Amino acid sequence: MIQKAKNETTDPSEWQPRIVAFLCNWCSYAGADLAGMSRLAYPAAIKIVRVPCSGRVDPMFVIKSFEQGADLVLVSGCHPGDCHYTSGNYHARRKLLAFRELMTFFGIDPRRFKISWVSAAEGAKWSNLVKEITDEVKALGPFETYSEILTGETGP
Amino acid sequence: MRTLRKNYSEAADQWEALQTSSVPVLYVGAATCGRAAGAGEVIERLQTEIRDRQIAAQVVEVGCLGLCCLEPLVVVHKPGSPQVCYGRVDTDRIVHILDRYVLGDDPCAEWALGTMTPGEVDSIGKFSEHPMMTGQVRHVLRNCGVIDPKDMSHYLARDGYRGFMKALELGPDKTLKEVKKAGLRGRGGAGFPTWQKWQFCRTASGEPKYVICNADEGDPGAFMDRSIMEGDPYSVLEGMAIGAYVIGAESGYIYVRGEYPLAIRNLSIAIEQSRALGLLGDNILDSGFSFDLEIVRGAGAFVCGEETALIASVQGDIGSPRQRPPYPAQAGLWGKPTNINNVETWSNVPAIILRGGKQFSGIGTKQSKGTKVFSLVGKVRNTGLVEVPMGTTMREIVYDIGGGPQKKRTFKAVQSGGPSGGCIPAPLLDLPIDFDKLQEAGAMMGSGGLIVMDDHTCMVDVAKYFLAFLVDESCGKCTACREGVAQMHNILVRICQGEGRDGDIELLEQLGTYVKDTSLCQLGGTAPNPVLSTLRYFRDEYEAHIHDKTCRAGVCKSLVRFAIDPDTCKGCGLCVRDCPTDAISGEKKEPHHIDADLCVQCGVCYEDCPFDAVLVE
Amino acid sequence: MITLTIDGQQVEVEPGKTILDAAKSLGKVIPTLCYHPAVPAAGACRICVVEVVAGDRPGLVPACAYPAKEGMDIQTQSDRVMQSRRMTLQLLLARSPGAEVIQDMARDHGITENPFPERAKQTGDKSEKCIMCGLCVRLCQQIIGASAICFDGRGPDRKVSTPYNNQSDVCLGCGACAFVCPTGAIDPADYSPSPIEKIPNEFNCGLDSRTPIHIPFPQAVPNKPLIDRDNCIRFKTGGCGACETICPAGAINYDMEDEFVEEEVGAIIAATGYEIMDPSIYEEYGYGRYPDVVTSLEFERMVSASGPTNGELTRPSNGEPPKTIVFLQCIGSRREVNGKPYCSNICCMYTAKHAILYKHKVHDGQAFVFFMDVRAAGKNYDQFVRRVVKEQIATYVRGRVSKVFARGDKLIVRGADTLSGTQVEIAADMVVLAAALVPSSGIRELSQKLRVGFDEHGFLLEAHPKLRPVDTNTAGVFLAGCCHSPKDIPESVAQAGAAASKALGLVCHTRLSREPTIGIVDESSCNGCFECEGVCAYGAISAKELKDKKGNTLATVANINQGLCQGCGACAATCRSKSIEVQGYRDDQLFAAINAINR
Repeated sequence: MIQKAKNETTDPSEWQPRIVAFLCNWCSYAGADLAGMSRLAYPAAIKIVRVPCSGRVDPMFVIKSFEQGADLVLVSGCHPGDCHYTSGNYHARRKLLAFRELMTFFGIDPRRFKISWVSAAEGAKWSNLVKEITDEVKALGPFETYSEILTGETGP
Repeated sequence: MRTLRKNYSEAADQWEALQTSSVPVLYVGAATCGRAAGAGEVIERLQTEIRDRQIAAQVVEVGCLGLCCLEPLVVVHKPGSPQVCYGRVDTDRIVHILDRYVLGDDPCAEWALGTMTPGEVDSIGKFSEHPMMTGQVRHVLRNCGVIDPKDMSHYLARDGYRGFMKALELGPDKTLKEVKKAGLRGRGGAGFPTWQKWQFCRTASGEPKYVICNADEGDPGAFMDRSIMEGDPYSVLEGMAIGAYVIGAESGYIYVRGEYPLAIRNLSIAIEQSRALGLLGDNILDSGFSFDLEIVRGAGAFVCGEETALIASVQGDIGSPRQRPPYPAQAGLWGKPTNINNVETWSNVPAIILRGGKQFSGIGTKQSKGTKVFSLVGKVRNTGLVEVPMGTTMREIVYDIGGGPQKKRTFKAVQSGGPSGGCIPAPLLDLPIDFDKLQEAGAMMGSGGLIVMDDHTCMVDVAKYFLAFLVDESCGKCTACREGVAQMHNILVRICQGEGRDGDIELLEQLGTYVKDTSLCQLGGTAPNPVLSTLRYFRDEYEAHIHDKTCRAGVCKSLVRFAIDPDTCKGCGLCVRDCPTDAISGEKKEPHHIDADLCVQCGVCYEDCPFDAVLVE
Repeated sequence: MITLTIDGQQVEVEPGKTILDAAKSLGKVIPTLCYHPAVPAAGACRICVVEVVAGDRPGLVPACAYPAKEGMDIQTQSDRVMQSRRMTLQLLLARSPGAEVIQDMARDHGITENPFPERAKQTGDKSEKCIMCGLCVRLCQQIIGASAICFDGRGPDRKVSTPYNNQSDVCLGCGACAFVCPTGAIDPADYSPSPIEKIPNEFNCGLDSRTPIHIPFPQAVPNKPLIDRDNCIRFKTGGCGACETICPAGAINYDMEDEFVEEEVGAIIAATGYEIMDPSIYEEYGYGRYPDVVTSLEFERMVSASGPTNGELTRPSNGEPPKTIVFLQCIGSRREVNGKPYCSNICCMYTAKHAILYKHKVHDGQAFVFFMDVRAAGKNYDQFVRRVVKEQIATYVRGRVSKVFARGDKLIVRGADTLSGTQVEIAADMVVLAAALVPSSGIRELSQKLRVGFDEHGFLLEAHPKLRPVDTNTAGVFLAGCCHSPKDIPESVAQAGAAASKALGLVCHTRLSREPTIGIVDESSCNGCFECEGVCAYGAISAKELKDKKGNTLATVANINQGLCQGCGACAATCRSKSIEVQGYRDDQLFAAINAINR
């Protein structure tokens, strides 16, 4: 189905951003699934990595994604209070917001890192969210700084 | 134990000084009955005269001597002469007595009733030989009219509180035995043996215990208790203290009806004085026994004379009786064992302890000991308070003491026991008075009201009167009394209006039996007595009312037509003067005539006529 | 124990019991009026008199207030007793001609005429019912503790009143006086300044009232009464306690507290049902404004034999049977704006049923149904609706209603008939709104407790709409009925059966299969900081001592309980030494995934 969405939206001449999304299994992943089942189209720029819980997301995954060429990284979990694992999304929120502060410190535009809450019932929300961040990242342009940082200063 | 020796000797001295006073002393009977007859004005006049004219004389207010028909009474002590009692002393007479006897030498024999102390004055006979006094034995009333009820030394001088002190020495057991030996029975009506009542309360479980004096004297025409409380309040307190000592109560209440302000005043003074002397309060006379008293004013309900209603009233609840058992001896005031006796019973106690039960039981009949105070009222010449030994016949009271019916009337009946009692007809006049004999005759001792009726009294009307009283005074709690008595009254009203029907008598009897049987308390239980006892002895009057539509006594207006017997009428004109509708006409010294159209059957002429020329048709 | 004889039969009672108690234990009926088992007896009405023949003072005594004594011989039917009772009744008949209880009793006692004139002749009030027994006064003073009513006057003038004849502001409005009154003479409104607060009967949609002690609904399990503490006078004021006095089983216990019951279970089935939305937000239908506009659930109770009117269908406004009734479909359902976008699924069918029930109750009545389209997808459903249409049980009008308003005592239903393209107006006696189904209130709290998701309307989410419609994403939690989505009975039953078998399938094994994705500790690198312990929501992490062969502790490391671990991975993300991995979501696996999708 991603393929199909891609076909609809891709213009081969246009630069396509690359978005890596870490979705929790219970809410956001299910929400994305629902969007698919509901035949809601959204940009194919997004690549989903399923994790059991947003709390599982290690900041290393984000950095790894940028290293691998992501233009934007999204972490999405259950709404606060609705975590399937009771409190995983709270841990994620605390950890990742602190991490975002750190990104500024080492020179990554924090706008390239998003956190959101999407429930299993919010297929439409998911679809809209993806559209929004795709537009946003398109406006920001390709994330080249990171590879520069990498090549300039540290090895991968 | 302290003995108050000093107080007693001081009191004796004071009393002696008063008795042998070198200045004249005027004792004025100033109880409620005396005041109603004008004693207040007499005292005022007397004091004004003494002050203005600077006469060396002393005025002492005392209680009631019992000769109510002769109030106001004044007893004069003139140094060197015996005390003389005068009757019907108004403000004019008192000035005369002052001038003529106290200051002069004329003993005013025409107003004198008798001498009270040994010695002779002129031709004045002994007071004790006054027709109204002969036959009386004054035990309970021994101090009434003699002592100043506000001066405790008088009471102490006359052996006051010696009974209580003796009880404290005897201990509760022996004291109770003394009361048992005396055979004293409750003077409130039912005649329950007092010692037994005390015993129940004494052995009942529960602390604290209470004693109550029932001074809610509500029977129409009864005023024995009032006179005792007004004239000798100390004896009531002393009796209660003795009772409390036997029972083990530490506090007591005197439930006085609000209509007795003077009694309340005198009792309050007596309580304060007794407290001051340590005869009430904590650790009385170092005996270890504590007892104090409180007065509760009744709010004006006849039913509060019933003991459970009285207790409810003391507690501040509506004065309604409750179903017994439990009896007050088990669960009375505030649910604690409580002993209730009436005023006369309590005031009998001190003398019994002091003089011994044997002396008391020497008076009276086999089942009823001692004396009984009666208030003798109604259609009798001498009305007042009389104290006679149990066993005295009704005839002695009505004819000897009371002087028989007024005018030339004939005696018809005497109502005994108030609204709860019944009528004793002429044939039973020789009935010796005691609790059981009266009960058998369908009347009851009650608290001692005796209302004499003559041939001008309609017995149906009497029953109606008492029932109207009881309808008003029923608390309304139980159906039998509230509805039953009201319906009986309805029937009587109908009969008296000439609308009596066949079967009314039977219905009255049925209803009366029902109310007696089914009522919750003794107010209802005795309420039909006036009807049932008049039906028993005067059924013919009811029948005449119902079937012949006549009231021979000339009382029931709807059934009466008055006419003047021309042969007897002397044409005096008394009736013409008093007739409210000017229905009577006639020349002086000529037989008069009643205009039947104008006559409203008020009966004034019938009562007025000195020649009994007004006839009932 | 006390032994006494009643009508020749010996009976034993405990000390303190009354003659009435003793007679009751023999099964003897003694008539009473002023007696109530919860109120201290007064012996006021005297109807219960019995004759003491021996063993105590002989005479008539009130059975209700007279203590039984050893050796008593009692006659309850003697001539004396019966004469007294008859007389009491005749007197009460005269007093209170309006009291039907007295009339009935009099008839039972063979009283045909009354020698006593009615007191009503004096008061002019033939409807007088009060017999002055004072039960209400005693109750209010001694049991309720309010003393809001009292006696006024005495003797025949006695009447039940309030202090100073003013409405009493100490009246709790409990209505207990009216409840105990033997002759139905009391209207508490006479005494209370505030309106008597009736407790709405929740099960009957508040259409009638209930007492603080009630059985929640017919056939409740367990079928036992409970005390509503918010309305019970005992709990409000500390007074009353009548139920405790009366209960022969001694089952009343005021000290019982709500308690938390903890049960270890292997599976949970959510079956919390539905509510219907409050249609008063749609002012055009007049619900809440006109008493004759009711919801379908209220209508359901009205026609129920155990309902507030015992199955008699009447207009709430005037108690008359409704001759014309209009059913409105889709109130709030299938309404995008200001409503619920979904179909409530059951209204079409129950409305057809309601139309049939209506015809059963009002034979000559006319029923109309305004509908959008009839959704009768189910076995025999369509036939059922067609029968209603064909047999003219109800007239189906396709279209919506724009307004319901009152004209006289009628309700005018104005709507469109889209089939004929005309506007129609129906003068109805009653309007029934098929309001939308919504999940039970409190479902959000429940969903959080169960860690089950819910949709925008609050319906609980299934794990998969097609493949796992009974499961939820939380292992061991299953759904049944309308908590999941609007369902009718057969669907609910089917889902409930499925949920039950799913739950049984889970718990019937001696060993549980666990998810493979759980955390594993690398004991060789764990430095025992136990940061992981703090983030674990399941308390699955504990310390484990690593020992050598001699038993010396070498190190303390984290240990994950495999049964408790749900595999969320919070610990893995927290671990500083990277000593915890979630199987299936190992770091290297995720890195590989990241690498792969960015290729």
